[in-house]
Amino acid sequence: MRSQPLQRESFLTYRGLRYFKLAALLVGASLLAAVLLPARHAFGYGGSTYGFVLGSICALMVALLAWYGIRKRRPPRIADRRRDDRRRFAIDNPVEADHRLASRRQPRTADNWRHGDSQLGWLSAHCYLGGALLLMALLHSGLHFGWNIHTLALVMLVLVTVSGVTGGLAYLQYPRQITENNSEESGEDLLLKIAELDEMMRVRALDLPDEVNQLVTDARNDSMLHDGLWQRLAGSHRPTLTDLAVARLEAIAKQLTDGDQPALVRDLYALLLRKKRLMVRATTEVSLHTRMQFWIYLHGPLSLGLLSALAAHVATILIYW
Amino acid sequence: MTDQVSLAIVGAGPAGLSAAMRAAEVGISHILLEAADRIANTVGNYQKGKQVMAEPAILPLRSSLGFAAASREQLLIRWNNELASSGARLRTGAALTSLAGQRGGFRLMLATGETIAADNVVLAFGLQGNIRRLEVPGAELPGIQYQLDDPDEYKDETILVVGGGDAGVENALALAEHNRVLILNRLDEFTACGETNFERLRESLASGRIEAFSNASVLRIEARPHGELPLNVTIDSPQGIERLECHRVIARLGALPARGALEHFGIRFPSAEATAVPELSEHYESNVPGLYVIGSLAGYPLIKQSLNQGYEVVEHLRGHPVAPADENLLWAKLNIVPGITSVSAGIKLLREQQPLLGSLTTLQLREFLQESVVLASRPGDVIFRRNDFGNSFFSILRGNVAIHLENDQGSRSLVTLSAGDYFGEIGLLSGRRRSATVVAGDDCVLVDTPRRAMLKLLDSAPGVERQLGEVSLKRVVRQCFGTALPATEVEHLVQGALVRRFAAGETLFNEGDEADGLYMIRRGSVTISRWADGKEVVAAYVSAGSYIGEMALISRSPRTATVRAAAPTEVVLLEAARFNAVLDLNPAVRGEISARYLEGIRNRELGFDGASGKQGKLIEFLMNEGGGEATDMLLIDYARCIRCDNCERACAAVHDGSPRLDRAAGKTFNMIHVPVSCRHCEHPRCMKDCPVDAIHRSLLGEVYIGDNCIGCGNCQSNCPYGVIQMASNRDYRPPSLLQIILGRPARADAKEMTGGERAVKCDMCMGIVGEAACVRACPTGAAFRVSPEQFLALGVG
Repeated sequence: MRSQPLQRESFLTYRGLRYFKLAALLVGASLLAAVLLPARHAFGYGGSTYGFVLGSICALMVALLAWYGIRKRRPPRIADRRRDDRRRFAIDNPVEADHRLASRRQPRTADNWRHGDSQLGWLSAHCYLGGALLLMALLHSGLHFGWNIHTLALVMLVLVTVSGVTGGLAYLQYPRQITENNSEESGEDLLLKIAELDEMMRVRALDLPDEVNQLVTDARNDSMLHDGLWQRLAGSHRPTLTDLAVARLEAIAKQLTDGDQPALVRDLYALLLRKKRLMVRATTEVSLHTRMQFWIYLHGPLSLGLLSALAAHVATILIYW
Repeated sequence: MTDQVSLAIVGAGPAGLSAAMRAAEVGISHILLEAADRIANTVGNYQKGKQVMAEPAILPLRSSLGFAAASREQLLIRWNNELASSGARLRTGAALTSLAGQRGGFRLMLATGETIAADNVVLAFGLQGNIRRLEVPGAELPGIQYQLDDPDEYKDETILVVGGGDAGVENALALAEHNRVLILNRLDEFTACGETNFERLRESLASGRIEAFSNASVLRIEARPHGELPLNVTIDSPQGIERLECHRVIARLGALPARGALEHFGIRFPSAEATAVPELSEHYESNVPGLYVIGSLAGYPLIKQSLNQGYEVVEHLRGHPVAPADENLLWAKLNIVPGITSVSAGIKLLREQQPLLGSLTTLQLREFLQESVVLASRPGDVIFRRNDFGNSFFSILRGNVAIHLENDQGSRSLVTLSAGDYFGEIGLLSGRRRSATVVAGDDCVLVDTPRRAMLKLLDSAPGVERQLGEVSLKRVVRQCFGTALPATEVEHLVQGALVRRFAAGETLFNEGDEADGLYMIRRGSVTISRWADGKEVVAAYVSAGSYIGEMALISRSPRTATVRAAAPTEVVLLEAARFNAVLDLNPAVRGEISARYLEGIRNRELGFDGASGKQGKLIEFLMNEGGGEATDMLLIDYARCIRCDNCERACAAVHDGSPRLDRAAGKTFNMIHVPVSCRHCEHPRCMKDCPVDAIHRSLLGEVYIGDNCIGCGNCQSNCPYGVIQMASNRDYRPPSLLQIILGRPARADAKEMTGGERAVKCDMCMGIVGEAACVRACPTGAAFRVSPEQFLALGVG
């Protein structure tokens, strides 16, 4: 019982590397066949028997991997729900319902093929089989390239795989960074806090010169979506109006000496700095989310492109065989 | 003037009305006396719009007066109409002042001076007829009232509510919406009201919406000649004599117990307990021949029961004894028992074979059976397995069962229980999984009573509670120390045992305290914390079924750690002296406990990572999030969660389109996120106030809401974790293939169906084989569910 329950397997280590082993087996078998088969069957375009068989397997794998994209987005279907009659029956007599069903209860075990699969398993398979697919496709091509539809399909595959690997790395890296950046609050809390600070600053600026009011108003209209896609991906920030306001206020503070104005400005300065810190966190949050999710906007369309190129590739072969 | 009738019925509530209408129907000369100026006064005093339930649903209705679930207003109109067309003789404003005589010669004196002679008398005046009023100077002033019809009638007033019971607190809470409310409580704390009301009140007090005066009483009330506020109330409080100005005083001081009046009429009570009900025959006749008691006065608070009793008592009087309304129901349960030919034989068997229930009246036994299931098990049938969830209570009527005990260390033992014994009480009290497997023996007949019915019984029959408490103490001792301890020693230990209750967060003992004894946790769970580098750090979590505090007892030194309740907790405290004496006599047990002591030291030295350690803080965090009472909790590893909300979508897809978890909400600590989702508590608070009993726990532990939910929202407000939502049925359709490829949202925004809102919550994907949909839908394996056993593994157990 003394396990580490909060340590969970990841999509890379799923079930003792089950799909890594499967992928390695596929690649190994392909290589072995390439080496062992007589030369006329092996190597040299998809036209050879070896090439044709390998190509067919690759095409099936592409279909399977593409299906993952659908499956991931498709919620469990109602037909998958194997509801028993307990809920309805239980209204009249829960005790009896329990006895009636005691004989056919199922243990709540982890997922397996009979008890329904999990997204984790699918992702693990998707990653490893995707890697294997690229290698097998290269073997299938016999390393012959040209300006044709066949090589286009291969290039698409390379692009899809590269974007996919990027995604895998992003999934491993960014969730932790996002959580660390958030500390214990969500993005929504952050926005609320910023709004609160804005209001506090507005009230304090009322007794200060117009120049300061203008600064505060500008800072208030500051949007965290200030950064363009490139900045977000690169994780660099343009200086914001809040940053400018901080710098300007430092200059203005030296000139104000009347009554409680110095105290108000100091107060305002502290609030501005606090907002600046929160703004950095908010922009970092947006940036990290962008970096975690951007690849999918390449991976998805590229996959559709790959499917089209692959369809053309298969069609030409069947027509011009 | 003397009125001569065959039957006088006192009290025109549901029971009295039913009796009078049946009497009118069959032509018995009768009179229905009502002290108030209207019928069904108690129902009439309900808050405006209150939904009146027709519970229990399984009990058939047999009455000349119609009844079905309806709002207070609808029900009163219906009853008034039916009464008007029935020919029943009603006299309102007729308070009874005295009653004497017996069958054939009763004399009833009314406050109006009239006398009524009756052959038989039915008392059905309930418990609310005699409302306690303020007895202070000025109590007759306008603006002082004893009920609250519609809280929305008052706006922007200052209102003083007197009384800290449920009625007072409920009124105060309702009024606080639009008024300034002061509440005056005679007691030190608001202990007289229910837990739900208490928690809501505490919130309102904390937020300043209601002001409370505790330990206070009203001295006098005066009218203020001028000023906006017409009343001046002088109160005596610990702060001294205070003067409060207000628009209105609402006094909810409860009702005077009817016992005095009943005893005055010559009716006997079986015990001196304050909650005792009169001794009655099967036909509701008291020890005074011809004097019958029905309805809540007789201990039957439900309207349907009262209606049935009114009918039955009249049938009995006209010489047509009818079988009670539940006869068929009970027979269906009992006819599987070999050799039992009638319900009364079954009841007799229950009474004779089960000493625990011996003190109950026949009527109480019938009610007990109504909600129970009778099982005639074949030899070898498994009644329940160790680690099953289930908190029903089993009484053995015949034959025997074998209990296969097994403790965490893996040692097994076998105990046989036979007729007269009972089992399942540990689960009933702790709310945890079953601690043993129970297998039916030869010729085995059991009665399986659900937790709710059992708790009701314990409430109404203190004798049963005491007896059950004693036996369960012994069993807890057995559970903790195994069967190695001889029965006499167990007896010895238990004699000095104290049962103590702690609220979540309360301290059981502090580091450095002198050891007062051994704490066996019967319900709830605790955290153990130590001082390290000037801070208190949680080192471990211990749950029900285990014991703590043995270290200091064995070493005879002060406590080495501080122990706090992580959830509402109940412990059995065994005195240090007795405990040590027993250990001296039982080297085997001492050996076992010493071994545990060493294990404790080992865990402390190897496992405890000090003040800087995140482990202790993580346990503390999980406890604060309800881990202390959870049986199954959804956690998300935020170092891995890609915020795709697939968990929510999958949840919605298998639950008619409305998700039962909110991924983004909830707290995060050390990369562990606790989303807003059901913890499936050991003692689910959501179950407590469900008027239709729609919330259940299945054998596998899921706490779920049945289809008979009426959407009252009680569970929602009772849940401290905010995991219950009100949702309409949705016409949910999963997205099509094209929608998926085009990236159309698959969110649960399907259109809402009619039929009103109902409560929905996580049911752990009950009925779906395998892991829950949220966990299965997580592409990175970030979502997972944990049980307390897994919490245990986090720290030194």
